Order: sequence, then structure tokens, then C-alpha cells
Amino acid sequence: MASQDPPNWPTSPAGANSQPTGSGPAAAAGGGSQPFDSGLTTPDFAACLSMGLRPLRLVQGYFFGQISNWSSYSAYPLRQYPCACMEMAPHPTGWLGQVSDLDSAWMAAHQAALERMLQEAAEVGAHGVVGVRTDMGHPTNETSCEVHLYGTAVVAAGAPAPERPWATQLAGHKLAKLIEAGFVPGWLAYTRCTTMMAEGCYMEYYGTGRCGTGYQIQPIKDAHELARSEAIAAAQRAAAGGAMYDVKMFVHESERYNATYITCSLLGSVVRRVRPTMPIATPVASLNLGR
Amino acid sequence: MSNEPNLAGPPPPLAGPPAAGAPSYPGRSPASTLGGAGGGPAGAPTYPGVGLAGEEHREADLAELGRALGSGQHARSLGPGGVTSDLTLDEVLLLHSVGLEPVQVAFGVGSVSILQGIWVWSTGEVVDARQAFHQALDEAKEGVRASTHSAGGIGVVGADVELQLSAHRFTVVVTGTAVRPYTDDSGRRHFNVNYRSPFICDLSARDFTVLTRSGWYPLDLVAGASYVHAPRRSVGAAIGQATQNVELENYTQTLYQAREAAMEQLQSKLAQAGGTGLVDAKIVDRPVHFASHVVEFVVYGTAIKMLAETHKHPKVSMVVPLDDAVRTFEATSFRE
Repeated sequence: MASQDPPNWPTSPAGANSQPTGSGPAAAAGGGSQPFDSGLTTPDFAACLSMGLRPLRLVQGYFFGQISNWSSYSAYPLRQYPCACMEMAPHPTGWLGQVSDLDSAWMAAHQAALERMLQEAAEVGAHGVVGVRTDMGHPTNETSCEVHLYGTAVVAAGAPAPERPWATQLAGHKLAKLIEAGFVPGWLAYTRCTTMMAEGCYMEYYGTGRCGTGYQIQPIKDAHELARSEAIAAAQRAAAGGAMYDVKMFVHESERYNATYITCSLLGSVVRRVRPTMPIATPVASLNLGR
Repeated sequence: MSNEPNLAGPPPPLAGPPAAGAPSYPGRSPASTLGGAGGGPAGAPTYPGVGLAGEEHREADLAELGRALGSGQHARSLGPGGVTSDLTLDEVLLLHSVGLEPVQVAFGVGSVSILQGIWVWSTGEVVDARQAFHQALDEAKEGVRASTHSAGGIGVVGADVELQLSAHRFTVVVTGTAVRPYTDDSGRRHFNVNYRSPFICDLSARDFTVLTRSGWYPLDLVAGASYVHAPRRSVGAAIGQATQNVELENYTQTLYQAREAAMEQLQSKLAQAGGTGLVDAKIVDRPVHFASHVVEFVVYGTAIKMLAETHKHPKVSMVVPLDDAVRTFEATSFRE
């Protein structure tokens, strides 16, 4: 985790120690009489200034939570499948379900961290946060979850403050190109769906090994499709009225307790189209002769 | 059915029977040329003279864009919502410059059952495994095309192919971003190539941009696969070679055999797709972990076709970056 908090840095959420070090009304209004700090690279910093975006502070949102083991069992059968094994009469033993507790816990964790970062930005009078980086993971084991978002809060010169600060992972010239293409940044979104395909043929308890549903094609295919389509549908809902671009799609498949778990996660940046424009200029091809 | 795509002239009419064997996607807009009355292959584009986007654009200055950002935050959102894309924002902007925009993440899953016995009972090429691969890939591509079409896309860029092989199942997942032509506020469409059914390419947006600006267009994702059983050495040969460093010719020959078979399939699939070439072939060449004597050779890539009159050479500016790290002498270089 990149957690290099300077002294007196407000890492706690929701108002505790909410005043930045040495800040005053001028800094909060983006007046520039107080020193700023930022996570911008020098070219991004220069471009932001040219665009009238004045950096204020490096703001962060952090969430650390526990994910109960029981969450993994929170699925209920959506579809039943007959077992493929030939023991006795056809018996429905396999089923497909959605492990929604696990997903909602992670999505809520991301949302909480995002809100905390935006709240910090709002408290210093920022209009938006640029260059946002997201760090998510299990710091200890699968029962813990950690989300860390950090970026540079900026204020746009001469512009009225938006109702809620916006956030984007872009900064500098790439942000400028995005606006040139007719978009403005919105926020960052994380959606996911975990499906499980459970097997429960009693023949497994008699030593014949894995049998039944695992040898069928439809349940695993449905599990793959459900995980992806639900995660994409959730992303479409999250991006309603806009677009979720730069989506990082992670698919993880694991076998636990005679069940196959498939998780599809989408992490992306929501942008809104506010102007229809001509396509941006054709990029110039270049050949780097550095070495 | 002729494999030649319709190169010039107006797009073929909307009505008409679909090409034999090609999936039929009902027409959804006048811009789409579906059905292929000319008898082109599925996915073959027509080329009614491409006016590439981004030529007449004037670049705005940064201060102007900063003001647009400030005022844009209070503007109402335009256009359809709920778009998703796994392309990076760099790629979205690149596609914008050639007149395309993302619609949604499209995927397809194909899963085919394999009899476990084929891995141990067969000799030579394991034909069932090859057939399972193609069936699973076709199912996955069909899923991608169907979701692309229903989302209003004309093709998929940046398709990622995931191959999962187990002893009793072959699963192929194809994931990419469906794209559609971008229409500006004057109603002008900025990508004028028409496809009869959605194309699929595993090229990045950068490669797609370079390819289309050179006059070439992607058609389909094509693949060849071969699974070949390496014959065991005779007991005498094994004992005789036990203490020697020798080439295991049975494995070498098996790999050659697998490669030849897969490349031949690739060629035939390429011709079937109507492509005149293939770029960025990816090779998966590995032993099958659950069947020790079987060698897997899979090759896949994007079938392309030149639609411009001639290949257009993109002008390349040479850049000399001046931001190298400062070099210093290493004291060790003076030691003898």
C-alpha cells in the first residue's frame, strides 16, 4: 500500500481532523497563498495550470473492512441442473447462484472510499480530483478488504463549483483531450458479480470422486455468462447517462467445496458526453529514436 | 458463395438472403449493410470511399478546454447512457480520431465437452480436441457478435481470447469492446466502412488505427489448433539413450506436425473469412498438463483485407527524446 501520510494528515473519514495543515480561508478557496501539494507529474502539473486547474491538496479515501466467511455461502439457487451421473434416477443436484453478499460488500467498500476522498476534496473547496489512483486488495486473507483511493484535488479558475466534486484518473494533456472529444469527467465506479456453480451429487461421498454437474457444459457456461453479464449490466447502471471507460476487467475462477466460483470485476472511469464534437485530430505517428 | 468482399460502389441492399453459413442479423439502421446480396463472407466490409475522421479538426487550446470543463460540469449529459468499455481512455480517444466510439463490453462464452478417453486412447492427432476447440471458439465468437449487434455495434476491437483446456472440457471466452461509428452534431457519420456482420479483431486501438489509416480493415478472428500425441520411444531406444544427450525426435516431429496442421487450418479459416492476410498471430505452444504425451499448438490472429486502392504508408515523424537519465561512469569499468 502506498500510504505515506505526512504528519497531521487527515486519514480519518467524515470530518475528523478535516483542516489541512496550515490551511486557511485562502487555501480553501484555491487562492494560492498557501503552499499546495499534489501527486501530479511535472508535465501534468504544467498542463493543469494552463487549463486553469489549480492543485490544492493530495486527497485520499480509505476503507478497511471484514468480509464474513458466511458471505461465500450467501448464494441461493437461481437455476437447477440435473446431475450427469448415471446413478439411479435423474436427480437435480447441481445449481447456479449469485453470491451477492460478497459483491455488495466490495462495491460498498469502494463506494465508501470514493465518498471519503470526495468529501476531503469538498472540504478544501475543490471542484474535482485528478490523477486518481485506486488500490484494492486483501491485505491479510480473503476475509479482509482494503480500498485506497488518492488523487490531487483541483479547483477550476472562474468556474462555479459543481454540486459534487468530480474525479478522474486522468490529469494534464490526456484530460484535455478527453474534454476536446466532448466529455467531462464524472466519477470512478466499481462493479462485480460472483457466481457459483455448486455440485452436490451424493455419489461423491461414496468415493467416486467428482461427478455430475462438473461434467456438464451448460452450468459452467451459464456461470461464466452470468458473472460477466451481471457485472457489465451493473456497470451500465452505474454509468447511466454517461459512459464507463477504461474498464479494467478481472475474472477470477476458483474451486472451493465442490463448487466453482467465478468473479468478474469491472473498475472504470465514468465520463459524461456534454458536447457532440468533430472527432479529434488524427494522431501523428512517431518513431522513438532514443536508443 | 464468393469469398470476395464488395470493394467499391454503393453498399449492397439491405434485403436479400444472408450468405450461406453466415449468421443473419436483421437490419437495424440504413447504414448497416447486412445480408450480403453480393454474396460476400460474413464480416466482409464494403468500402464506399472512406473519408477518414479527424482530418479537418482544429485543436483547441488548453485554457479553452479548462473553461469547457468548468461549464461542462453543469451541462446536461448528451447521447445514450450506460456505455461500458474495457479500452483505456487513450484508446477511446484514438478510436474517436478514426470515427468510432465504444458501445459496451461484449463477450461470448463457448464450452464444449470432451471425452476424457481421447487423451490416452488416441495416436497421432487428437482430432476431437481440435474439433472441440473450433466449436468452442465459434460459439464464443457468435456470442460476441450477437451482443455486439444487439448493442448497435459494428464490430469488436481489442478482443481478448481466453483458452481453458481441461481433460473433459474446452472453454473459450472472447471479451472485447463493441464499437460503433461516431456521428457528430451535424449528423455526419465518421466511419464509412460497412460490415455485413460485426467484425472481431484482437488488435489494440492503436493497431486498429494504424491498420485502417493504411487502408486495411479487420474481418474476423481466425484460428488454427492442433493436438498431437507424441509416440513413445521403443523400450530398446529408451534404454540405449538413457545415458546420452540426444534429441528426442519423437517430440520434435510431433511439434512440427502440430504446427503444420494448425497453420493449414489457419490458412483455410483465413480464406473462408475472405481475408488476404493475417496480422499479429499469437502462438500458444505448450505441453498439455494432464496428458503428458500430447503437444498443443494454437495460433490465432486477425484476418485483414485491404480495401483502399493501394496501401497507404503512414507518415512517421522521428522523435529524439531528450529525457534520458544522466549517465555516469561505473567505477567497475576501470578494473582489469
